Amino acid sequence: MRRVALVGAGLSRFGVRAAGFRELLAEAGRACFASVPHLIPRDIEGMVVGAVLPERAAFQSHIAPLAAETLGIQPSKLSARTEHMCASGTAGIRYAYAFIAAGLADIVMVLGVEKLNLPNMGEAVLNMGTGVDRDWEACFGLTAPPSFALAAQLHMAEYDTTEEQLAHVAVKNHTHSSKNPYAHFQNGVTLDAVVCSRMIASPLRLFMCSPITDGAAAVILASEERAKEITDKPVFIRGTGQAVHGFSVSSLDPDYASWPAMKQAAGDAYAMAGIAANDVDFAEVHDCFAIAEIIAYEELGFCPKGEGGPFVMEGRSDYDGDVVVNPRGGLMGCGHPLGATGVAQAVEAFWQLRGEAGERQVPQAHIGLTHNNSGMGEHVVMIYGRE
Amino acid sequence: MSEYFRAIDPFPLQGSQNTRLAPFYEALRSQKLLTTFCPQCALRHWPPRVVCPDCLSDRLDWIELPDQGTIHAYTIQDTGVPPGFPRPLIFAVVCIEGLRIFTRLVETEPGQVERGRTVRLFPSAVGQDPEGIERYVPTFTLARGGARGTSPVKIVPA
Ligand SMILES: [Zn+2]
Repeated sequence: MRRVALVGAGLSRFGVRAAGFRELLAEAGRACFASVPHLIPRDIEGMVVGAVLPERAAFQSHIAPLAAETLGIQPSKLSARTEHMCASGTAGIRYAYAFIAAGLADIVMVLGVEKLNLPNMGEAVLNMGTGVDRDWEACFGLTAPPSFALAAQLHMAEYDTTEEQLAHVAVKNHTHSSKNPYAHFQNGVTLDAVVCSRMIASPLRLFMCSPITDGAAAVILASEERAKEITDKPVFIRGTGQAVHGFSVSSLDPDYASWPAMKQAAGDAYAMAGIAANDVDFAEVHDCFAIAEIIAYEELGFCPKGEGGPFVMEGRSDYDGDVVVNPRGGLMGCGHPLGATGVAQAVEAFWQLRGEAGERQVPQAHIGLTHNNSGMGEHVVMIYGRE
Repeated sequence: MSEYFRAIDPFPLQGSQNTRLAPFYEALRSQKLLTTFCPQCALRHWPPRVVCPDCLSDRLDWIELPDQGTIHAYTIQDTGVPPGFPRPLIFAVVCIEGLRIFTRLVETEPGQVERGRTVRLFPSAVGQDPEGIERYVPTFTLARGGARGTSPVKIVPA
């Protein structure tokens, strides 16, 4: 297999945007090209787009050709959409990676985009129910917050994880996103504000949840040979892993406080990269809810099982700690435009590993990890490196 | 225009014209909880299947489950409830003879919900499908209070 690298990256602003689906993806695509001088749309051989809800939120399917045409790209080797709920963006990166590694294409754009906010917000909330099992779970009104609330409840019961520890995840990530001009939230939050915020699904409060956000992100992947022609600072994909143990809440085993699929995906990614958890300098993990980041510390091997709460309280997941987790502000600070999230994490890895992350630069960043879940039993991990 | 559009709602179509699981819904209308059983694996499934995920057999039997179980985990959602559903929504994972069943508790005081408490089947009507079949979903309620067979709660979306 050939080595593959990121050579370009760009974002739209994330937030409640006065912009439509196609406009958001155009912004991110344009920003991505702006990061790669001399590369033009006709140089791109493939287009992969991660998008979850365009059929419901924009009455639009047939997304990859739409995105290609919008950006003046005429794919000659690969054109596809990836839909894997909240992991759609990273699923797209893996797809493009495999295509290039196999020699079927040399240079591919992966774009993630979501327009979630609608004039009728009830509809936006209802749409999120399409990502869970409709016949047996969404029919009760289930969306993501209550599922992760079950994980929080059991983690608190089993490991004495506290509300204050959950709140610390939110404070950290909002502090990080206050240094990110693309983030949905840029004002930070205090611990008091988090623990006094509205209850969404017990025990998860408003600021322990990621918001409903519009946004888009794009990266360009190239074979090592092509990458070195394009840039002096390619960011290599060193490893990747994905595991799906179950789709519905009913089917997950053994409980909701342990996520063995995540451990498996991370283990495969570490093995492929030839590294261990303590080699990771920063990680963009899927903090859709505060409990998800706490469990991520444990399943990624940053701390022993059950010690995720103390890990954040002691500052070990922050600057000057063991590993900087969510330097861009994560899903809680940046927002979570489903299909865009995984690609936006790759954009952050690109900037961090090239030393271009500005105020939130992680010192001596050599290895970065990104992680998406699309449910408690579905995980995907990428490892990026300077070499 | 507006008459032409019919939004897909979050409730499954339940008649035999639309699903091979119609017997499940038919039983649910008479307050019975069925699921499928694979004789080859001696395995009960949840949710009901048309193909056994263990051996891929499609010769499955319908069996009746006890209508009572215990709460393994729960959460109460106050905010961000989808339109048409009442607030708060009480979600629970209920254990019935080793099966984990994700469900919603109805006719229940949120303050009374605890892990380990007994709940019983209490199906809810969720509105007719386009063929006029009254659809039900397998909700539960706390076992104490309210006799079996009480008329179900309506949660027809707006
Ligand atoms: Zn079987």
